[in-house]
Amino acid sequence: MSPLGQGLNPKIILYIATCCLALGYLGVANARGFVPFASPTSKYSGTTAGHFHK
Amino acid sequence: MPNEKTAATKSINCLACGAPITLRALGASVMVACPSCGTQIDVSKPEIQVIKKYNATAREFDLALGSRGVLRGKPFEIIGAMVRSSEDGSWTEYLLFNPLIGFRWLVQDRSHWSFAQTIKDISAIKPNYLGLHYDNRDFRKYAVGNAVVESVIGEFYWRVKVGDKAETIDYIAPPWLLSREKTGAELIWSLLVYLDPAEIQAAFKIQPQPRDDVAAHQPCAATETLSSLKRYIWAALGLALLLQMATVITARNQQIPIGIYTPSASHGQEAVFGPVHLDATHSLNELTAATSLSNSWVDLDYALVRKGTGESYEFSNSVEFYSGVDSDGAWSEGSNLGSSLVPAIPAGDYDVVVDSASGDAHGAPSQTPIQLSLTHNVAPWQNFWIACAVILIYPVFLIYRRFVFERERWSDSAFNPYHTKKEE
Repeated sequence: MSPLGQGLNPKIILYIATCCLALGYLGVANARGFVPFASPTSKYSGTTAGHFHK
Repeated sequence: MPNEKTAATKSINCLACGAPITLRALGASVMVACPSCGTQIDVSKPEIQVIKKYNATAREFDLALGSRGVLRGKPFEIIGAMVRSSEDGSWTEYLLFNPLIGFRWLVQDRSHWSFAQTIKDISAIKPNYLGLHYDNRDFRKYAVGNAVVESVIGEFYWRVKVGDKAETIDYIAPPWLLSREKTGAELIWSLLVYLDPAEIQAAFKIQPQPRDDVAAHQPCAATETLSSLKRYIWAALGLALLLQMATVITARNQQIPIGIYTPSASHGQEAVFGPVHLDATHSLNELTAATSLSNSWVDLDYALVRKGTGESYEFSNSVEFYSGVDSDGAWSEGSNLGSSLVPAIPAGDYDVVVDSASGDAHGAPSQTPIQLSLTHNVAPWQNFWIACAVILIYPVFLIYRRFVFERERWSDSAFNPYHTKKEE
């Protein structure tokens, strides 16, 4: 296969796209302080008192 | 090497059966085997003579004598063909001729094709730790055998005859194969390169059989893809590491003591600590509970409640520690330290609300004090490992495919490094 053909190999393009997704996830998740599998959190409005008695 | 002047074409009739024979490399070839009856005729002199008479039935070959095709950019004509066999089966060798280039070989082994050339300077073949080194490639020993000529038609540049035997050794460096053939005192080395079926189809306009096994020197598609991907793999891993290092360097890891929490006897009586100020825009925080439990447990429920808005982020962790002595000696289980990661917390002032449930071996609630502290804006590592895993999934899959392919390749070899034998 020619160098040009190799450059256009769909497997390589797909792999590069996957790497971009992985790196994008890493950048955004780290910047947002997000981690999966952490303690489940939920968010709601209320007052300090009585959070466990809603 | 023959030239155009010596490579004349001439027609003769077989001295045995009278069938017409076209000499396509006259002057370069020394014998011809009649395609009809197999009788071998000496054509090295103007007066043609029978070398050996045969009355064999013409054998079918996939490629006919006189077929022309372009292989590796050079046009060749098939002038001879012979079938050889060994303990592992039979194969066909077509002798190709181009008056400007000379002789080459096209080898058909079942559904696999190779293009071969005799090596003139055999001093360039050096032994090494794997087997042989030649032309900047390391070759591994693959097979040892004895080859016998079963059938011959067409012209050859030496007097080949049915029954000729040779001791053979094959060395491989896919897609290359080095073949050593010893006949009496004569030693011949040939270099074969594997041909993709599409090359044979394009060259000779035939439809090659589909491949149903792996040839000794067949290139592995997974290896080729892996080789093409290598730079992208390293680049992606390098970028991931850079991103992670940037995160680690900018993480504040600020220690904030929360206070000492003493579990109450009844569940539902929460304690409120704080407020604590978290100043990173969006941060990952780690809340740690340290205590000195003995044969008891505490389940801790927390809420970070943002002052002003009332937004609440709930999480929990458990601390339990047991110890004792049995017939095997002292034992312990669990830990007096528990921690929770609290992700994606916006900047602000927060109250920390704590509630708990606890118990000991007798079911009584624990009242051991628990030291609570929070590390603000810690660097997450999970995302880095997830990104690395995603980057490496496809390469690992390709490595597995390569392993399967190589195991199949070597399954027919007596020098199989995988130590498995292909099932019959």
